[in-house]
Amino acid sequence: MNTVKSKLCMAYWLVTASLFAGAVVMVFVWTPTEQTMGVVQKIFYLHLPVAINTFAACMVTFIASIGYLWQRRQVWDDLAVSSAKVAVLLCSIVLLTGMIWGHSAWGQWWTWSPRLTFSLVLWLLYVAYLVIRPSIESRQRRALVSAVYGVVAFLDVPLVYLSVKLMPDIHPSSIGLAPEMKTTLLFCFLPVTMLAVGLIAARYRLQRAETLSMQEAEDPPLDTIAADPAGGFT
Amino acid sequence: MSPTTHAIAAYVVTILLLWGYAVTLWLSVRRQRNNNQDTPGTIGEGSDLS
Repeated sequence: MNTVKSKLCMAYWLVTASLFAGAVVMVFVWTPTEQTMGVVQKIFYLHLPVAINTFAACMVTFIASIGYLWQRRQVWDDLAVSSAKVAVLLCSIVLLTGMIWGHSAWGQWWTWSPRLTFSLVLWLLYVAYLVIRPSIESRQRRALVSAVYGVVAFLDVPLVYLSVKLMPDIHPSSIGLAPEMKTTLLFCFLPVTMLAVGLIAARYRLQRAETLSMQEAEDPPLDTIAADPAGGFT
Repeated sequence: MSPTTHAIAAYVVTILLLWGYAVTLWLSVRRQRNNNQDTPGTIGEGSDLS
């Protein structure tokens, strides 16, 4: 059973890697170069899917946090922290690719426009989420504080999305694309989404194992205590 | 830097970060699985990781 599971996992990662490689080839070989911005516009095919998956990862943390507040089950906290870690990684990529694009398009690495600022705030919020957690010793208290924080931090996601529509911003709100460009963009969503899902799932498996290991250390099973001559008090 | 260099740099950064993290997780899961096999009866036995 576990061998089948391992093979399915391996197949999933191989398909994701192949699709990712295919997407990169598609972007640089098949897709026409945009006339106004030139080659640098090709960053967009990666930037947008990664940004949408950042929102999705934040959403998973948000839902898992609500799940924990509702049911107080450790699995929800494990899922929340796993997706928060992936959200930080994805948000870092969004900021970096955006900065590289901005340097070419605007002539500067960074500008304090509403969308960029809210995106940086989003990154900082989830970094803080991960930094704060280890400082709380009690497992239940850590999960509770993280869950409340996970719900509140998600409020920045709609701000990132809507800022460009509601406030004057240098960041483009929509880009007209030729049919081949649209096809490439849609294709790029597939490997990036599969990768994000795979990363959250892998991180979650590790997180569960770490939690179970800690639970075992904190509350050893009765037969272990009985087998220990010191009664488990050493 | 030319626009082509910018575009390639963005793709290299993304690939390194995403796939670097994926490989790190894969290695960690494998190490965890091996640890579980070495010490039967510990946590993780019968779980997804074993």
